[in-house]
Amino acid sequence: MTQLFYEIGGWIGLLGRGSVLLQVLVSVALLLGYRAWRFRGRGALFPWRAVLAKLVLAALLSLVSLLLPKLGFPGGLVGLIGQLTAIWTALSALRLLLRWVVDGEEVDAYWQRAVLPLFLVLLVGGLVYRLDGLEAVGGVPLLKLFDKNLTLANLLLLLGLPYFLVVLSELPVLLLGNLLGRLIGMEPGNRKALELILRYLLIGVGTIWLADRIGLNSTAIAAIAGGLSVGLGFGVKEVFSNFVSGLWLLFEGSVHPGDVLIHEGDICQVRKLGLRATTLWRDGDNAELLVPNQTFFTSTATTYTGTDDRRRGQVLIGAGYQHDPEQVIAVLEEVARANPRVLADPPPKVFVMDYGASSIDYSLRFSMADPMTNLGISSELRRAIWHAFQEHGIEIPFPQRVVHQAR
Amino acid sequence: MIRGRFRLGTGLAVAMALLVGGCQGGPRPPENLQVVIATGAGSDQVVRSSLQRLATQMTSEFMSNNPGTNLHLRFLDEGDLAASVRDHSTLGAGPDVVISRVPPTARLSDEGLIVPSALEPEQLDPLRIQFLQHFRQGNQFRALPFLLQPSLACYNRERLPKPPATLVELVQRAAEGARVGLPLQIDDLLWSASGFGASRPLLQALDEDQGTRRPLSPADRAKVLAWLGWLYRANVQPTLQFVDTSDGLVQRLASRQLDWISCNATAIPQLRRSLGSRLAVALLPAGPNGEPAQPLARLLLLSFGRDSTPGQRRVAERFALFVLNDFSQNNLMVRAVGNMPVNQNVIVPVKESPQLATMQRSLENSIVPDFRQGIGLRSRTGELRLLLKQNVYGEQSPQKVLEAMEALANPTPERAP
Repeated sequence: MTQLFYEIGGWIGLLGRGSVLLQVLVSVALLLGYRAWRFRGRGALFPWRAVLAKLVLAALLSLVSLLLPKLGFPGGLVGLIGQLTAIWTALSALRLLLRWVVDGEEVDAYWQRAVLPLFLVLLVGGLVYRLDGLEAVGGVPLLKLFDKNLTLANLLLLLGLPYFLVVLSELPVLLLGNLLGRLIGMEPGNRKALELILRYLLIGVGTIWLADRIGLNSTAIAAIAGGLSVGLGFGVKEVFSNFVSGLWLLFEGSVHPGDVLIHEGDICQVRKLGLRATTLWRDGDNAELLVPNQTFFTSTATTYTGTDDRRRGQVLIGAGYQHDPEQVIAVLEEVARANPRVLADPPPKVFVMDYGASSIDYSLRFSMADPMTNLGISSELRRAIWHAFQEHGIEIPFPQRVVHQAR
Repeated sequence: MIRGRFRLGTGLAVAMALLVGGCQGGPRPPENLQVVIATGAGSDQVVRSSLQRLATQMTSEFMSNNPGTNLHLRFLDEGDLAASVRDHSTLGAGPDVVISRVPPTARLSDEGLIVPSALEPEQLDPLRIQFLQHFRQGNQFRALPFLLQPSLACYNRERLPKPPATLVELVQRAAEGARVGLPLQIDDLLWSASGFGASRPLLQALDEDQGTRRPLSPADRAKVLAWLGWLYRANVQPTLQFVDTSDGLVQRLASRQLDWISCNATAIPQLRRSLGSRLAVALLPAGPNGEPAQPLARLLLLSFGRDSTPGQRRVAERFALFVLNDFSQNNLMVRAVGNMPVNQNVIVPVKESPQLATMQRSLENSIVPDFRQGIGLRSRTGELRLLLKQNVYGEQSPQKVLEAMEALANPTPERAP
């Protein structure tokens, strides 16, 4: 650690040179000037105008870096800051372009997760590389780990690489999956499974490389793997079981994102199929449920989207004994046919279900294209039946009780 | 809001000025110096490790004697030196001190990336620095000689009780079964040419400076041809082998694949670790007629960067005087084995140390390069290595190789009469 501070002390020493200080001050002045101009009383600029302004700033920095040597001063540092500004400008333009073709929120999320941290690494790495050389700074030993010196470079890799492996593996794997899907016509479920496996493979290989890079020898890795096996046997058994179930579900294709199924009596739609849990959306209360994958593996699941997406609904209704069932059935079928969300094929059917205490009970059965719309269509049909019965003078009786009083 | 930002900016500027300049009343901030050390050419690991050890020793000694100074060492490959210094200088972050051999230092000087020493004669004269005048430019010196690294013969005394004294003996020993290694690197093989009187004509013919370049005369051509012929005949011996680099030779002697090699003295520590007391050093073999070998010695130079502040320059000069003084030079000679002092006040204990005596005697006959001599030879190492290889493997006759060397030395159509 002392050596690291010693190296940093060397960079601070460079600021004592008038030529370096001049470049720092000129760059800071230009950057602050840009900020002040950009936010002076007008709020944020339109995105493309902001990109243009950054481009002007990068050009100005580059111009100053060319002018300084003419005046007898070095200008490389200003040029370097200009280059970094130009890269940032190009990235900002790319972001705006991507927002045109891809969902803006997704672009912004990926930007925050991947591009910004990568640019930060480039910024710091670029400055260190030009000032001192990455090898010199990265090789600074910090502490002993498994009898080997843990250098600054390895520590940064240890902290940063897992993050970047997880975040950055997403996009290339997605693109590869997409390409394979198009080339060999892979099923979406299998494609998703392949993407996930590739991603975890990439992360796994990266982790092993990192372990080797920081000096974890094969014995240490074997010890960790042994510990992990015991952990799998006890503590993380469920996690592992869900992981395997998730992979299996993906390959089998029995559950896909977008499927509609019944979970604990509620109708839900599958939003996301993860490796540990599946995310379901419950329409009734707009809740998202995280259901462990194992659940679908060990218990019966009812789905409306297995071979087709149609769902059959029913409305139960009672009509008075005095009305001819044929008339009631005709009215009910007519009501169902009149609803645009009720499928014509198969046609709606009405069944006489029972002779009840105060009414003849009918069941109107109909089919719908979207399984999630059952509640809405049922409600519409019940309202329409009331109006149709009013129109045809059909009574919807309610239970009546005749009470005889003894004298 | 904007005012707040400007206040922040001003505050930062003031803080930076205080940080950099220090307060009048407070303790002075340490003076940080960037010291760049070019560690040998290409993959010459032997020279690299020797230089790193040496540099760490001398900087720590200087810092312990000069509190408030921090020396930051950066080791570079010789081939990367000019590009790196140029790149840092465009930032204003060029090194304060550069330690490198003659050819790369000459390049830095030609590009204006280093500046002459401002040390006064009364500061340098007492040190009696050898070869200082090689680098004079008016009243100043473009670089200061720092250490000498002589060329020697290194051998395994268990396999070869007595070293060959002449080139004839060398081939004879090879014929008797001794495993001999020679480099194909022209600057490390030039000593063998000196035995035929061909080294100086070659150096002059390959001089970079057209003003001092001298084409080979018929007599010189005959000497070079004799040398090339000897190289070809030597390679006929199955136990004598030519290796691309001197580093490769050292590795083979250390692993006992060879018994005798020509080596630079900086290889001694590594060879000593591998061979222990079996390692012996001797003068390089003399020519067929007994002319002593004249190897091209390695000279390390110390030069000053152009971006230093006056304070950094003062410390850099103090550092130069420190590493050149009698104590340091003596210390470096003893502790950094393979390096000989340029300070003539230092008495080399030739009686106590046969190794140092051999090194001293080698230096007496050595050709020490300056910013002109030897540069052309080294800048064409690759092409010359190929020609030498073609010569020793009989792919081209010595006559053809000589013609190719002349064409290389003088690309213009004119030739020696």
